[in-house]
Amino acid sequence: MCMVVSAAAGPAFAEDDTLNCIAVATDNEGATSAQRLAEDKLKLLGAIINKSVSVKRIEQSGDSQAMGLLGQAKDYHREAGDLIARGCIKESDQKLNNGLRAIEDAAHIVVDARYKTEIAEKEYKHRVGRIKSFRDAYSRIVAEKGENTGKYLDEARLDKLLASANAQAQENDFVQANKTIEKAVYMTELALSLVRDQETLIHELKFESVEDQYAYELETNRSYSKLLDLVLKNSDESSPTYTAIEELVRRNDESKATADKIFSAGKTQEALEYLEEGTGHLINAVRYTGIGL
Amino acid sequence: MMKKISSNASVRLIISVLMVIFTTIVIFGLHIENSMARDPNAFNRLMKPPSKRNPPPPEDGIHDPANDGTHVLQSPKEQFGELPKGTSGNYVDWVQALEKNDIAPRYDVVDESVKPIVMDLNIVREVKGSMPDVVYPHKQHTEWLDCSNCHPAIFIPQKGANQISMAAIILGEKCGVCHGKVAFPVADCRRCHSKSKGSSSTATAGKPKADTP
Repeated sequence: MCMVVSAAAGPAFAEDDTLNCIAVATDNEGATSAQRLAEDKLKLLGAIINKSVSVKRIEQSGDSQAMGLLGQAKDYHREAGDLIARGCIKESDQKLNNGLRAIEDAAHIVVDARYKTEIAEKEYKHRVGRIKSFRDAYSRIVAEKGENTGKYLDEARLDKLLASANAQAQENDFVQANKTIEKAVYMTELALSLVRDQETLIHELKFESVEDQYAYELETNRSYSKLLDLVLKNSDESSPTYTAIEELVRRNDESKATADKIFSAGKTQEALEYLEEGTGHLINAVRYTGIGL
Repeated sequence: MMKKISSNASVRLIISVLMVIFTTIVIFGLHIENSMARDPNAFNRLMKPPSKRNPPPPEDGIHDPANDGTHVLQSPKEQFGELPKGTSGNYVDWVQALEKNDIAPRYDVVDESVKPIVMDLNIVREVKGSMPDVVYPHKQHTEWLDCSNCHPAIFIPQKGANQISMAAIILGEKCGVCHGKVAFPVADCRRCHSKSKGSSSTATAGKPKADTP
């Protein structure tokens, strides 16, 4: 039996037949808080063992390794409870952490059946798209720099991994396909980080043509318009601010209509000026709402 | 004697008036606070005094106090005390906390040995008008996030392929997917608009190699 010693009396050591632990009496605030935390953690582990979906899945799977780990978690839970009852808080925390890790390991062994199909397939397709996008970016960058693509990326190995992942996906083994393609993802991301290491790219606001600039301004105008629609929808119509905002939105609509008309007539530069004027009205309207742009 | 009495009365009168004013302010302030909390459009409704920030999980209005797990969670106020201070959200500068090794979060849920691929690339976006240009640092983002969080779904990894406006950000698009929700809000302009027009040096450490247009 471990001996409970008051912390106020000074440090002392207690011995137990089955377990050595230093028990601290709950006569100080720190110890009470530690006891409470330990009890909460015990409840958490208990809730996971008795109520969680993961544990039900483990039990239904019949997987011997997972079941073994679940059994260990239950043992840790019981031992931790005994230790807390005896006031051995530090030791109980170790048991609880071990129990939580055991449950985690068991859950990873028994993969959700739905993951093996729907989710894994979705993730695989997402990774395929990601690799394509990154690989295109990498090729573009090395071409701009006049460098060899093989400098940071082993293309042959990448193609081999992609082919292997594709073959696994064809057999509907998306879990394995994801593991294979994740290596390919790592290769492309690493290559991109190396090819652009310590660089600064300047994205200047220059357009190849006035038409491009007009399209850019139109999109900007659209985004502010969308924001104001949301603001007006949630505002009090009787307030003077609402009236002022509505007026500015009306002015934008006028400017935009004029811009559209002039643009159709082929006078893009002039149309752009009207459109910018309209966007200016919208920005002022946003400022009226209190958003500091 | 009369003057003394008059002086004492004046003092008492002043004290009484001050107490009335003080009480009125307290009552009015409480009323305002309650009204603001109820009104979703009230200015500054989410701002809390320092004493009310980061309440314990069972009291924060987010976690379920009836759930056993809620009470196991660490109290933010206690745990955040030593971390670098921030100006929004939970008032911790998490980027600095990571840089100073005050925290060492796992990068991968399953495998704790996985480390992030950190990309040290700055992108300077020129903006219209007199506002300073925006400097986007990949380094501080990739220390926390995998590339797939943003690319290609939110930002196409190609110059000129992404149009961003403040309206789009406030609407929760582009940078606004995270900023204003789980990362710092866009209230502090200079945090992003940090490169003055016409400045030749880059805003952050890094060899400036401008790309070809």
